[in-house]
Amino acid sequence: MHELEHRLIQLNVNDHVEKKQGLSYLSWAWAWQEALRIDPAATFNVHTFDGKPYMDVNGTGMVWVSVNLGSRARSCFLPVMDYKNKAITNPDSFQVNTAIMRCLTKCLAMFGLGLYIYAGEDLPPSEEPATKEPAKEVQAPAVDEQEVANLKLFSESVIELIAMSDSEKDLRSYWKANQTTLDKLKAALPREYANVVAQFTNAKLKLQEKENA
Amino acid sequence: MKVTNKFGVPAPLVTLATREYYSKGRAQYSVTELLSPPRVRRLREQYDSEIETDVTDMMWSMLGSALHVVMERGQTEGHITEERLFIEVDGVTLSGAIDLQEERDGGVVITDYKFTSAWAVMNDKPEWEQQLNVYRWLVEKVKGNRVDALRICALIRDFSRHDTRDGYPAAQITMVDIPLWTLEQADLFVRRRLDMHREAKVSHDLGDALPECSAEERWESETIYAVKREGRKTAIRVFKDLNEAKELATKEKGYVETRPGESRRCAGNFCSVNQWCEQYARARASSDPA
Repeated sequence: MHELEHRLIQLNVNDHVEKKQGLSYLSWAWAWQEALRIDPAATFNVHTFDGKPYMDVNGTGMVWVSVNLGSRARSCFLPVMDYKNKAITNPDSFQVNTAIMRCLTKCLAMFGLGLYIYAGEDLPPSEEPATKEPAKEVQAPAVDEQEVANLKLFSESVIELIAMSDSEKDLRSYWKANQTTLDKLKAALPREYANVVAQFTNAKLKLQEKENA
Repeated sequence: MKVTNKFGVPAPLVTLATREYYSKGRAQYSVTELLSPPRVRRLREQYDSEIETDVTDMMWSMLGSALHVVMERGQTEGHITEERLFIEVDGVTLSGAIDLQEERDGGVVITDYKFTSAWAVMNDKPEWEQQLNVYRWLVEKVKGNRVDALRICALIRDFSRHDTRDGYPAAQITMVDIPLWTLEQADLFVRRRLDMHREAKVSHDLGDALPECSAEERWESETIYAVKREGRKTAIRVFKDLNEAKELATKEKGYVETRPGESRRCAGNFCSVNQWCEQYARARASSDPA
């Protein structure tokens, strides 16, 4: 196999694949970027038929694209299709444009880029699933039982103190003085924290009304 | 923060840009954060996962990081490099990483490396003065060492040997002396800044409006008035005062062109959060022609 195809066929493109109607599509912009990375002089050509960018096939359209990459040229074709992947009669410019860009991606697959997607595979030939790194799990920071009990007690006492505050200034200064513990509460017990915030907000609104009256 | 690679630069550069060289460790605030506008600090924290920066816009910060890594290799007796100090102030932990501490005559000289422009060296940079004086305060409070001098080691990006302007730096690497505050001044400054940040956090946590960035923090340029004449491309003279401009325009039979000031930090998105900033949105709405 030519070195260019060898390199492209092994490239994992999974991060650039979109799924629509159960089919996988490779982003044309990313595919073309990869082509330019390999050969900055790469070009592509959209074939025209009687001035139209598609060939008429019994009222439906077939687009043709050629790619010149690394001193080789390859051509490919693709019907202009709707979202159900059925050929469209009298396609409009938007549908033709979509087909051309998909055809460009397909033509690049002829060089090996994302070819395994067209073969219905999930990974390029060189990558075995067993070698794939396990996904890292994001876990909440561990908090010991005593810390949880202290934080619960803290949130209860905060709520009691809110009721005793008689100005918005008092409320804010209380929050400010306990910021570090409130941040710990937010990280360890988000529900309790949300409750404290709700109580503060209610108390603040009532005090504002009272101060404005 | 998401680092993008819009111009297809090599992957190792993207890896370098994505890596965090600085950690404020267990501290709630770093000195850099303390000096940043509280509004910016809160918005950055809130939208951290949505902020996008292209790797090509990070060249100088990457070079800055590279410099710090290289400096660690240049260990020299009597010099402490890259030391992070922690201190608790009013229940909040603050930390600062000091590039270089040089022991000299029983005291310490603090130096901070900066990749900067010749213009910055020729003009006052209050943020340098603030940063280094907070470092000095940290060293004296945490280590109990006397600090005798503060210096910036400016690595001038746009240096030109042919520039002979008065005050232009003599060499590509120039030492800039920074005035020392009294310890009391520094202590008051730290506590005030910390209080501003804590107040902003209360507002943020409770869903209140964030404090606004000042004109200085927005790097606001002044509105100026150019006296111009028909048929002449350049202004005859530029004034900060409208009346003076009008006076000359009458004398010269010209007219006055108003050049409105601009918040350069916001407009250039040097804060990285202008798209989420109500203050900026309001300013834009009021300056846009209806």
